[in-house]
Amino acid sequence: MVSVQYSLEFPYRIYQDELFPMVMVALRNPATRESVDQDAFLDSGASRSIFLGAAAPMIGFSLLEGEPWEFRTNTGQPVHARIHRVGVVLGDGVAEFALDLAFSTDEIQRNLLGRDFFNLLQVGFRESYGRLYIEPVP
Amino acid sequence: MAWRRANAEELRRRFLGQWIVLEGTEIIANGPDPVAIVQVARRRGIHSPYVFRVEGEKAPKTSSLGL
Repeated sequence: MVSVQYSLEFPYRIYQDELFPMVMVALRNPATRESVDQDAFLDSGASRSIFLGAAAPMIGFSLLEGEPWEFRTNTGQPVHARIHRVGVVLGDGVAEFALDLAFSTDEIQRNLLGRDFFNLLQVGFRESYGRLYIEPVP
Repeated sequence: MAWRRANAEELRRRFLGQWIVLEGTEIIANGPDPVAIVQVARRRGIHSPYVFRVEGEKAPKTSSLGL
């Protein structure tokens, strides 16, 4: 049996009056160091992370200058996005990861951190306690 | 987060669909343009503003998927 010692603990965060396994991360533009704090759902069903397109210009990116990317949702509908390299900062700077993050050019409701993010760290969920745990190493 | 939860109804009543920059329990800026309110926050000296959009209530008998 494998045991993991987690060094970071976060309470679930609220969305539409319901608690979800979300974390607040700072998205940072590596070139300008502009940064904003955003809530994001941890979603192991998402093969790649995607944020609302509105977040890109908040940190100085021109959304449409990124590489085009397409997601397929659970219903098969496409969601289009553009990729920009960002820094994702966790826990008031405890850990920072470089990520080629998709910013949606279609209307989406929520920021998702997917398996590309999970590939950078280890996550544990304790759903009935409304808490999640992160060890910031793969 | 506790403040957001306690004030969810008031936030929806006043700011539904708008973007908000929240610093602790203080609403620094709000409006339809997230870039504009982030700029207001940076002028106030907030290096990494916490920005969110005020969503409506979850409809009854609904659950959410990732996207």
